[in-house]
Amino acid sequence: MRLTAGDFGIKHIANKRGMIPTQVHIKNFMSYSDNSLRFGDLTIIHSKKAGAGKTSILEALMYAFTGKTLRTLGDLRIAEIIRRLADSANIQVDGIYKPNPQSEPTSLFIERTRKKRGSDLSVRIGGEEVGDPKTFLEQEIDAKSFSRMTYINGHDILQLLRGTPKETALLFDRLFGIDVLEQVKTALATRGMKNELKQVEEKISDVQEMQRLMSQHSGMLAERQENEQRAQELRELRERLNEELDQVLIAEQNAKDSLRRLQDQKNRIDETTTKISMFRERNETVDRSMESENVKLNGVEEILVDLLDQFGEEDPDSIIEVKKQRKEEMYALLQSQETVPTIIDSLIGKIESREDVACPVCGKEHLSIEELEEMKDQFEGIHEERREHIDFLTTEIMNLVATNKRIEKLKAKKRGIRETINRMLREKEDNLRQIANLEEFISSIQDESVDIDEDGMEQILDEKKSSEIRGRLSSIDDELSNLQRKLSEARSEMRNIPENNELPNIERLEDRRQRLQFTIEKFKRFRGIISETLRDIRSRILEEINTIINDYLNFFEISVVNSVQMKVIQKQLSGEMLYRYDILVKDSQSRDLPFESLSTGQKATVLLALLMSINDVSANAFPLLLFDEIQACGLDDEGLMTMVQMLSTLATLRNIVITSRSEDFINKMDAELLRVNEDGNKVHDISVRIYECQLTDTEQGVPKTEITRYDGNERESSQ
Amino acid sequence: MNQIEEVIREKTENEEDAEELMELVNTAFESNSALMRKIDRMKEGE
Repeated sequence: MRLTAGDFGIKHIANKRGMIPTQVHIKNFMSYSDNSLRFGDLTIIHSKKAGAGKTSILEALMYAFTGKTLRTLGDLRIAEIIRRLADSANIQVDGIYKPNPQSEPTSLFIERTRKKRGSDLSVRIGGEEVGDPKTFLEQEIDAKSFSRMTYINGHDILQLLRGTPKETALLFDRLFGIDVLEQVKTALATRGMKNELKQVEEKISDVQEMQRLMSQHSGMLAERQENEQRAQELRELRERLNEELDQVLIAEQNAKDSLRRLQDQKNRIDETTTKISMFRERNETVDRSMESENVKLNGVEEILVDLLDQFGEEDPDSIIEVKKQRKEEMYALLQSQETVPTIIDSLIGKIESREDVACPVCGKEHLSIEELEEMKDQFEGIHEERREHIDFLTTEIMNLVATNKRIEKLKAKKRGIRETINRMLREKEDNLRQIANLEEFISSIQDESVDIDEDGMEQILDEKKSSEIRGRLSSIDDELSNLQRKLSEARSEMRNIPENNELPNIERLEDRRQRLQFTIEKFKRFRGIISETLRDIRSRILEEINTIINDYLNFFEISVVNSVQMKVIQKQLSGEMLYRYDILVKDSQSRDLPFESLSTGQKATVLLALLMSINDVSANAFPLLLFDEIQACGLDDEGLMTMVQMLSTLATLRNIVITSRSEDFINKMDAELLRVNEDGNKVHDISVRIYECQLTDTEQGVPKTEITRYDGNERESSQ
Repeated sequence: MNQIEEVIREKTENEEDAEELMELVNTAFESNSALMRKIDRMKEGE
C-alpha cells in the first residue's frame, strides 16, 4: 500500500492521525448503481453538467464514515440514500488508518449498508473486525469536524474573496468550528427577557399600588356598598310605588270617569228637565194661543151666524144667482123696452102725422097722443122703477156678494183658526209626547246611575293618593340622584381600583420576576463565558494559524507576498460585540500589502494557505481534503491557474478529492500535471485520477451515474 | 469540539453552569431549532 503525503507531510502535520480512503465501492447509493473509484493523491471528479453525481461520491465517504450528510450533518432519508427500485444501499471504503501520530499506518475497511428497515455497519482495522464499529467511528470520526475541517466548497472561496466582513467572519468561524458558539451567544440574547422583566416589574408595582389604594379606600368601598344597597332598596321601593301609583291612577281615573258619568247624567237630566220645562212652557203658550184662537173662532162664528142669517136656510150662492138672474131678466126686459119710448115717440109722431096707431102691445087701436104719452109716462115710470129695481138688485147683489165674500172669508178664517187650533193641538200633543219621552229618558238615566257610589268616588279623589305617591316617588328620585352622584364620585376616585379577584396574582409575578432575573443573569454569565471562550479560541487558533501559514506560503512559493497573518478585530457597538477577521499581508520589506491589492492568483494562494492552516490546527485534522465545486471559486484565469498549481503541490501533503464542472480547470490541471522540469521529470510527483460522471437513464427510467476515466488515460506517479 | 469544552470549563466558575452551557453548545451542533427550543424552556424557567 502506498502512503501518500510521505509520512503525512511536512513538519506541522507530521504528528497527525487519521484516515485516508484509497478506494470506494458504491452500490445503489443515490444515483450510483454499482461503481468503484480509486483515489490517488489527487482525485478529480468532473462532469459537464450539474447533478451528475460528483458530490455524491463525497457524500458516500461521509456517509460511510459517519452515517450523516456532508453539507447539513443531518440524517438522510431512505429515499435519498437507497437508489430507486433497490432494496438497500451499500458503501465500502478501503483505506489507510493511523490511529495516533506515533503509530504505523494500517489497513482500514468500512462497510455500511442501509436497508429500508435498519442498517448494518462493519469496520475492520488491519483485517480484524472492530467490536463496536459505531462507537469506534463516532470517536474516531467526529461528523461535524470531518465536515468542517475536511470539506471546502468553491463557494466558500468565493465568499472569502468577495463576501462582506460579516459573511467572511461567519465562514471562518465555521471553518474554525466555533460558529456554534456565536449561534449560542445570539440565542442567549436577553433583550426580550429584559423587556418582559420590565413589564413584570411594572405590573408588580401596579398591583402593589392597587393594593395600597384598595386598603386606603376600604372605607370608601364600604360606603360604596352601603350606597349601592340603599340605591337598590330605593329602586325596588320605586318600582313598588310605581305599581301602586298605576293602580291608584286607575282607581282615580275610574272615579273621575264615574263622577263624570254621574255629572253627565245629571247634566243630561238637567238638560232634559229644562227641555221638559220648555215643552211645558210651549204648551202653556199653545194653550194661551188656543184660547185666543177659540175666542177668535167664536167671534167669527157669531159674525158668520149673523151673516148667514141674511141668507136663511138657503145657499148664498143660489140666492145671489137668483138675484143675478132676476137682474138679468130685468135688464133684458129693460133692454128690450129701451125702444118703447122711441116707439111711442114714433107712434106719437105718427099720430101727429095723423096716423092711426094701435097699441103694439094690447093692440088697442086708435090711440091718442095723450094715451101714448100716458103710456110713455107709465112706461117710463115703470121703466124707472125697473131701473131702480135693477139698481136695487145690483146693490143687493153687490151686498150679497160682499156678504158672501165676507162669509167665505170668515169661513176661510174660521177654517184657518180651526187649523191653527188643530195645529196647536197637535203641537201640544207633540210636546206632551216629547215631555213623556224626556221623562222616560230621565227615568232611564236615573236608573243607570244607581250603581255609582258617588260618595265613594269623591272620597277616592279627595284622598289624592296619586299625588301623595308622586310626592314620595319624587323624594325617592331625589335621593337616588344623590346616591348616584355619590357613587359616580366614588367610582371616579376608585376607577383604577379593581376588585380583589381582578388583581393579578402577585406571588406569581414575583416568581416570574425572580426567574427572569435569574435567567437573565445566567444568560449574561453564559454570554460572557462564550465571549471569553470565543476570544480565547480565536486567539489560540489564530496563533497556531499564524505560526504555520507562512510555511504554506513558502511551500506554495508565492511571489511578492512574504508573510500573512490573520487577526481578529473586535469592537463593542451598542452593547453588541462586533468582530471581523483581517488578513494582513506583508511583502519582503515588511510593507503592508492590502489583500484587495493582490492579484487573483496571489489571493487564491493566500486563501489556500489559510485554509490548509485552518485544517491543520483542527483537533481532528485529516490528511484528506474534499474540495467541492471548484468552478464556483470565482477565480479568473490567473487565479485558476494558481489554484491548479497550488492544489497540485498540495497533493503531496494531502489527499485531495476535487469535484469540478469546469473544462478549463480540467484542461489546466491536465497541462500542469504533465509539466516537466528541466531534467525532464514531472514537476508534480503525485498519483492522479481523473473521472468523469455522467447521468444516464436506464431502461426503467431511473437515472444512473456512470463513471469513466477521463479521456482513458491513467496518470500514475513513477514512484 | 474538545477545545471548546476545555475552554468553557476553564472559564466557568461552577460545574453546573459548565454542564448546562455545554449542553447548549452540543444542541447547537445538532440543530438550531433544537437550540431555540431549549433556550425557550430556559426562559420559562424550566
